[in-house]
Amino acid sequence: MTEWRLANTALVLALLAAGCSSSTESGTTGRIITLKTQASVDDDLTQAKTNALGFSVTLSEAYLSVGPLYYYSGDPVLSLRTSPKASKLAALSRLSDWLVKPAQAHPGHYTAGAAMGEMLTPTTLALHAGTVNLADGDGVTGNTNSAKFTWQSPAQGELASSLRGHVILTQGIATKDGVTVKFIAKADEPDVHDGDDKAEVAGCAFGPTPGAVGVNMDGNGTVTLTLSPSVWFDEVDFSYVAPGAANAPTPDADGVVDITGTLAWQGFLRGVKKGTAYEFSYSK
Amino acid sequence: MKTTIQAFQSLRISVASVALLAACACNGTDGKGTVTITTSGEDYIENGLSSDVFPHDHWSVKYSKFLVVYHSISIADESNDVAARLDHPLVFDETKKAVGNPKTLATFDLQAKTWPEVSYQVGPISDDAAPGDLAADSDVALLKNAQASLHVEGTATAPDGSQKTFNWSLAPATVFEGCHGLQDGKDVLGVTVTNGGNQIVELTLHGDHLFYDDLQSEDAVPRFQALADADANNDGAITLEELDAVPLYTIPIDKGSYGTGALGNVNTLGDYERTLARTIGHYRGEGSCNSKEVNVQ
Repeated sequence: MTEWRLANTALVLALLAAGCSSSTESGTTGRIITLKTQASVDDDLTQAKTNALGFSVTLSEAYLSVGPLYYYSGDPVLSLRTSPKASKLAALSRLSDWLVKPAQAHPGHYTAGAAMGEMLTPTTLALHAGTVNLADGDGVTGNTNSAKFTWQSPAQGELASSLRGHVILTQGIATKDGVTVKFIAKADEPDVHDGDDKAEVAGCAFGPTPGAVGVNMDGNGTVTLTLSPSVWFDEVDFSYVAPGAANAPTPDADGVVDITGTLAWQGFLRGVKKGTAYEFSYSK
Repeated sequence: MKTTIQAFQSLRISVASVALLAACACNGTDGKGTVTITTSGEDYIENGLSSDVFPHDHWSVKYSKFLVVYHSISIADESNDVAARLDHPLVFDETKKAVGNPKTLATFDLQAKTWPEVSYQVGPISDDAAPGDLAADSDVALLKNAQASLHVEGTATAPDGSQKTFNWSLAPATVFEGCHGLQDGKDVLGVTVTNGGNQIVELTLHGDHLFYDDLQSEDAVPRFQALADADANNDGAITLEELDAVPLYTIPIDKGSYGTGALGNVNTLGDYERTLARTIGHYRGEGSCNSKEVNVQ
């Protein structure tokens, strides 16, 4: 591998010596860096959050299995166009990505581009625990624009048993118009598969401005995975599982209903697959 | 895995540098050629999508109108410095099949070299939009009145012969950039202009995309049953308002996953159709581009 790299470097140096200099970003990309990793929760889980259907949702318990995390140069799917200045950088980045591996995806479909970093150690998070340090990852310097979140199954880490075999397990209370639903919402690994049949969310935003070529990882730093469990519940219509609703699940002895298999659960599964629930950022 | 990243980056930097050097080397040429930008909706839009295109529910679709406004086109060098632009937006009806010469947007004289940045933008409609080849003033007026950049009308036919119609005015503003496609049998990023030559660059619209059952998966396929089921008043016409009333989570899995990938703001069939409208642009047939939303606020 070293010889292969030397050959490449020699080729570039030879061509550079042949007469064209360039002030491209190539001089600042490609250096190996260490990326510390942390996970934080965007929502204040001590407070109720009102979802799009008017239900006020409070989580008393929330566990998430986290698998490897990957960071890429490609823009998130169908992102906003960048500024003219950033477009120039995007053009250069696209050129180099295309030369390595031409993107064959249909327009609208996510093209990851070059691998810019990764964190490979799975763990289990208790979302009420606040910001948690994950294992260190590694990467290379350069513009990073999207990321892939994956679920690990079976779950790993000290808290893995809290998931009871699932990849997401939550418990809480939803209220609306005087109706209260105590619920369990959970997902197994097959439930979270995407359209490519993988337990992952590809094309998540990396950085504060999705699509902008401006998240320049220019040295050792920290990648933060910010989780928004409120996104998971934004489309959950708890009226399908409320007491007295047709075909509502039978509550347990504590009055808690498991929403699995209901339309409320289908809304939950759509939420857990949304990229806006898993956003990535970088800081030095 | 670290070595994978190292190796990949090394190759990436190397080939980018070589490409830039190659571009430098070509800058000294005096030759010129032309690029003619054309457009086509291909067989799917001009003649229809047969039931074979819908492998699961076997509907078929025939478009009667497929109006699109090309808001801009640009051809640029590797630094994204633009050398050619479209004068003003042009409207086309992609159901109208060109006879003889293709539907043409513009012809540009350019230096003979590779221009790696070819982009075009669909929408928004604007006051200076004019009819392109085979389009009528009434087509432009329709888009302006609806403030739409894409208008599709058509009829879908179920395997049992029953039919649904659709008449949707959509307002995507999408730039398709970094386009690449086949030129002389090779996948070329942008377009290579040869000395004295004329390159035909077709902006190709794919009519099957409006019926895909996943926004991100490469395995997405066209389906129609969920759209047909959205006709709540059962009058035979599927409206955008009816699509807006269908949350995606209510669609049974046997009628399509309607996966939204990482997108966080696509919750109904109406949202879904508006998002699909941003994916229709291709390049030189099956070539592709990176599509991005343009903020027109």
